[in-house]
Amino acid sequence: MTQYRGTVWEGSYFDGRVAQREPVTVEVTPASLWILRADGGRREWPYAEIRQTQGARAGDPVRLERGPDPPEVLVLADPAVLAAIREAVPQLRSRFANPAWRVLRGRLALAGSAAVLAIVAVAYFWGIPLLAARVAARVPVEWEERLGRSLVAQLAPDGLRCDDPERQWAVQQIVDRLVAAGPPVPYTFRIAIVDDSMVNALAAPGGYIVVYRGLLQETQTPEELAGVLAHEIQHVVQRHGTQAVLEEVPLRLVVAAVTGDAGRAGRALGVAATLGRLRYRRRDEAAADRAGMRMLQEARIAPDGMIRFFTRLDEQSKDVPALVAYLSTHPRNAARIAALERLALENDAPVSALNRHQGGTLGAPCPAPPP
Amino acid sequence: MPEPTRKPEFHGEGGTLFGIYLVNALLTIVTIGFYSFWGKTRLRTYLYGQTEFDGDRFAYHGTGMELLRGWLKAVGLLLVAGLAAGLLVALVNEVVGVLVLYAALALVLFPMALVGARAYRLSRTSWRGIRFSFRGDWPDLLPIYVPGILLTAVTLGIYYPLFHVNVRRFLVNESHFGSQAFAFDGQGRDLLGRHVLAMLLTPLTLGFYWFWYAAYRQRYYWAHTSIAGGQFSSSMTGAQLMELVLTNVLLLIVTLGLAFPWVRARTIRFHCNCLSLEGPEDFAAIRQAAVPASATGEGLTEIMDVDLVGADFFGL
Repeated sequence: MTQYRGTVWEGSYFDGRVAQREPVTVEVTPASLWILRADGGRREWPYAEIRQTQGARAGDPVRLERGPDPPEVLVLADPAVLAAIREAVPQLRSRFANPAWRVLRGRLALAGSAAVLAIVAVAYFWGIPLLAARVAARVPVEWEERLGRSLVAQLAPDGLRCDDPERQWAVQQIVDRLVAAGPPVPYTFRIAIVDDSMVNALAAPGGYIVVYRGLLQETQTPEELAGVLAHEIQHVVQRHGTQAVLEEVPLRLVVAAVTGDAGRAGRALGVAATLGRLRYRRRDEAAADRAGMRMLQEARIAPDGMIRFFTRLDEQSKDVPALVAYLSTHPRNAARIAALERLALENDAPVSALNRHQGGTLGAPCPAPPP
Repeated sequence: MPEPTRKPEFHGEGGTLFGIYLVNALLTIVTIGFYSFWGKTRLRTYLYGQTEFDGDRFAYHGTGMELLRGWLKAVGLLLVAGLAAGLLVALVNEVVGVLVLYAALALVLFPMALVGARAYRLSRTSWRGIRFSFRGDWPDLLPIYVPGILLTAVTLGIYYPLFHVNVRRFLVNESHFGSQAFAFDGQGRDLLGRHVLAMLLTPLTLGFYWFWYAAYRQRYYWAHTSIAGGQFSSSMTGAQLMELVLTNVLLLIVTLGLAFPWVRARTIRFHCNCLSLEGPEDFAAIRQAAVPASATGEGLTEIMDVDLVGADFFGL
């Protein structure tokens, strides 16, 4: 009986019947893999029946299994056995991991991970905002209105509104004058005044502007208020809110995927639409400032009101806690005011004063709702 | 001749784990979630394959398709429960419908998830070519679990260690390695004093006493767990556990969560380092005795987000 003697490896054999390790010698021949046992017995494993289940990474022992569940197992420390098997049966080589790749595979995984992270970072900081801006420009106004309505319902629920038609009208009048002066826009602007001493104003998609009573109290002239309103109107016209919501969707999908929850991924789409943050990036704020200033000028409203209000905010916010609210959602710095002053100087068209509100100050406490 | 002492050892590395998590995340996004079942399988295959005990590594034999099927069945079960409750709301009244739904969740689906997930994972785990298995069925958990929850509520949490020990006894005693059962002989009353102390001291020490109680409980549990005459033990101390948890939290905060794979690896390494088994001489008497199990319980835990006693191998 002549037997082809191929290369020989040391390994451990588990017969799949008893929990015992058996040291064996393994021989790789062109026909099959032979397991030579200590007692002189031998087992033949045809290559077509062998599966490799572990040992593709550097440092891992090679694990080969054969047979139906629960299988016989062969564990070999030296990955070179895989090269020998791949050489013996080239037609089955795809079933055995190439040991030459063991170290490279680890490095590739790390390099690939780094590359993917870089791509994700670029997509997040540049690609997604660009895409969101494109998509936002094509979102129908009706969708924006629906989104804005649900946001306003959360931010300014009916119970917190200032129920005073006269005051509502005074603010609405300024908004109308601003909007009428510029090119036509597809939005109907609606004002919600919230009975809260916070000094802040927010714009939601679709033409919703939320004004806190504290802002009405803090602005000393209608021109100052007009400056803030022009800024918020521009957030709506330039669709910054819709963009912010659209940017949030992919982020939530990634979070859902990383936490490995298929159900959560589906829900993320729905949640993202209602959780849009109303904080815009610096670039959007600057754009709203610029276009807001232009809007004031086109409406022949004195632009120094806007500048005066922001200057006062910047100076006083250290002492007046209520002012911090506006600055928490809007940028604060001297550069912003300087930019506004530059814009105001570029165009010194004649101005006409806004009407002073007649029915007491705008920031007075709201009347109690009718019982 | 003294009995041999054996220890598990974890060879996994955070960097490799990071790669696995990242690829899983990307493929999960691309496949709108469907890859997550295969991703989970890949992760477990790696973690089990990197865990060594007495010179031989564990192996995980589950497949992504099994997990997908289990998840679908679990969705079906929850739908049936929801529909039945809806029908009762329509036919009888709301109170009955909601009560039946809660009862179904608490009395059937929750135990099914807990026991099913453990049975599935053990049945797909092997060491030295021999499968683990879980022989208990979910209705067996009910006589432990229903009075346990009620008594815990009535005694304002004082009964909890007895409940926890009873559940653990069931989970360990029904766990097998091949033909050999694990054995647990702990008694809840042994933990009662420490537990009451922990209830008092944990708030007073801003939570820090909990580490010492948790480590004590680990030591107690393993000191009462054995297999084939071999005795487990854990060397975990409160200070070690606190150091692990605090550094993990710090790592996660500093890296905005990106260190998660490294945190996972060092946590497993910590648990392996704490654990040892003294005796038996060898495992030659333990024979193969695989018990089939479906992944429905896994699917339920997935959807219901429950992992009460830790169905992982280390939660034995």
